Amino acid sequence: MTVILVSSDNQDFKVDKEVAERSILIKNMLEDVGESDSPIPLPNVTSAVLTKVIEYCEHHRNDPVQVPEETDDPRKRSNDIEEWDMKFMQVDQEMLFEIILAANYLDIKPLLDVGCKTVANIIKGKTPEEIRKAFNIVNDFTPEEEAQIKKENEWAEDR
Amino acid sequence: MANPASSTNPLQDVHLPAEVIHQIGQSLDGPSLYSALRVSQRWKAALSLNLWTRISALQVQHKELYPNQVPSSNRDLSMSCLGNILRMTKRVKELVIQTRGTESFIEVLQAIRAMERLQVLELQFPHSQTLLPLSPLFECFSKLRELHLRGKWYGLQWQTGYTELGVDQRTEVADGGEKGEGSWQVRTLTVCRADIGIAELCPNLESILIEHVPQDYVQDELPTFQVLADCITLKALEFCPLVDEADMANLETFMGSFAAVETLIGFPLWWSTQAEMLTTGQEQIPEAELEEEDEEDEEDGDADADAEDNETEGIAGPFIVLSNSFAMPKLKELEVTASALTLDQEERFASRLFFQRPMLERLLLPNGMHIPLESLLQADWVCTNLTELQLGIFPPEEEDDFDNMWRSFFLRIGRLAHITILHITTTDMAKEQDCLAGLRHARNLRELTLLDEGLWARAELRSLLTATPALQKLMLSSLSASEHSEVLEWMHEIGKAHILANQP
Repeated sequence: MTVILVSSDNQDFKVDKEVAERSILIKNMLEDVGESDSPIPLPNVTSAVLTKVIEYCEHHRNDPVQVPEETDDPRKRSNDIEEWDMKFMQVDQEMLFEIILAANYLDIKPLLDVGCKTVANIIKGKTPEEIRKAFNIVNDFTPEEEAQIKKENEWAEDR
Repeated sequence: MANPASSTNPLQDVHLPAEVIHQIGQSLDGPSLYSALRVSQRWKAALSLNLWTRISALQVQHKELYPNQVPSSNRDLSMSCLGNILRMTKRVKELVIQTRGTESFIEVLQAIRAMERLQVLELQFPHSQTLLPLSPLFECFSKLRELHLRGKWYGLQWQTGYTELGVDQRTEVADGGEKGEGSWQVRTLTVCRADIGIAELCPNLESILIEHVPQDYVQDELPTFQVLADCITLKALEFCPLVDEADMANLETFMGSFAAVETLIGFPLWWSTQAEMLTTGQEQIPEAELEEEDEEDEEDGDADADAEDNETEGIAGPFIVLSNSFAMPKLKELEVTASALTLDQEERFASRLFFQRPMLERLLLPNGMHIPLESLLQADWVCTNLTELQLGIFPPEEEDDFDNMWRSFFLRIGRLAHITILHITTTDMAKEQDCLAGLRHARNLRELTLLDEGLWARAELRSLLTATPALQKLMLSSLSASEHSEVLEWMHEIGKAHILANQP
């Protein structure tokens, strides 16, 4: 059985139901509407991003569903990304963020997880200023606030 | 005043929800987390929840590798500095500390005692010649969910037999309650073999990892495994691994009492009694087999006869006190690390696991143990819940049945609906398409290791990969550099080069 997903720029994507159901959001929608041929609109996902998301879901269509204990493990490490996933995430930074947002919106936990680990790998070893530069983030701390954070965590800089 | 960074497209940050930033923080080590926290107000708000919930030895060591700084030396944090850090981090839930000396460690112990939210504690003390006391920390231990004591400590019996701290130091730390108030909450425990008595304090203990006794540990008598046998909640029993013969004999005495154990790891099969206890109960001991063994004794030479006599005695001994049909009747996970059984005993042990242990989900047999293929095909497998299997196989001797038997074996593997990891070692294996076809039904198979002495032909490899479309990792027999390139090229043609785990 197939379902039709409609991206924000009105492009249709015909995908197997079991692939689409890697998204918990879509799975719940399908369960709610029952048997229906109606296309599923995804107004928050562009066709370019949806293409990537479907590629990911196709590749992982047979993966066992993650249990909550695994996904919530606070000790998850960013160097345990599978080789295929690592290559899949070799995209420009804008697309990387779009994929993460789409995974968050569509509730695809493994994709969100690998996206976050990829961003974590970019952050590792960088100073705050380098992180801001990498992700175009504005520093909105006052000097007083910066001094306060430094004071709270001064042991980390004490050498 | 704000410090605006040069920015061309700040939208990327604006779009990242707090829960996503928080999740990114979960994959950062301490120094990187500290950097990310200082990026912006939003990042600080989202990442503060990550901060100070876990400190690991790795993180403490990373302090020397702080971003932008070239490490000048590999020195560790001083104990007094660590004590200061711990006092500042009351929110820590998980703490892993490695120490190499006792200097100022008392300060650290006192700081740990004050960490009220601590749930997981790992203390590593691998190198010092001086053993440290545990009892001053018992009050703190009593509130933990997980406790891992690695290295040289002295625990319950700390007055006897060990090199001790100076009297002054001991007095300084010993103002805590000996056992803590009430029973401990610990569910997961790692202790040295000499300290398994701690389990007695943990009525909810579910999992225990028992480490070696350090070589220079002086003690006349180790506690028996009775304390674990009495622990009715214990589900996982792991050794690191168990190597002492007297210990194994002691464990054997209590094996029939581990009624709730589902996981047994690091277990060596030293005597046939242990094998028999895991595969056959008192009522099910085939008398014919015992008689057969006696007959074998008579046939063997004098040198073997003594050893065989001992085994026969062993079989008779513990079985008399066993009342249940299997030792560890709920066993789901069995990892055998070594075997000193005879080939016949190994064959009987392994095949019975397949025929008589329906609850098994993970079975890892040691590399040196090889089971004749024929014996695995004598009856239907009941262990249909297997998810991981590591097995050595003697190929069939009869050439006529060679292909048929391998075909039948892979059909049985295919019937294991949940199998995800399969590791087969043999000397010769049938690789033709129809022999491997049974694997097609093992739809969840992700990792496959097939080690034999032969090489794979192109068509055989194609058949294997056709039969296992969901495979994510494949390890074949060791390949020379040229063989590796050739195999890689074939797999590239099929679009599967990325799953080959062999290194050239």
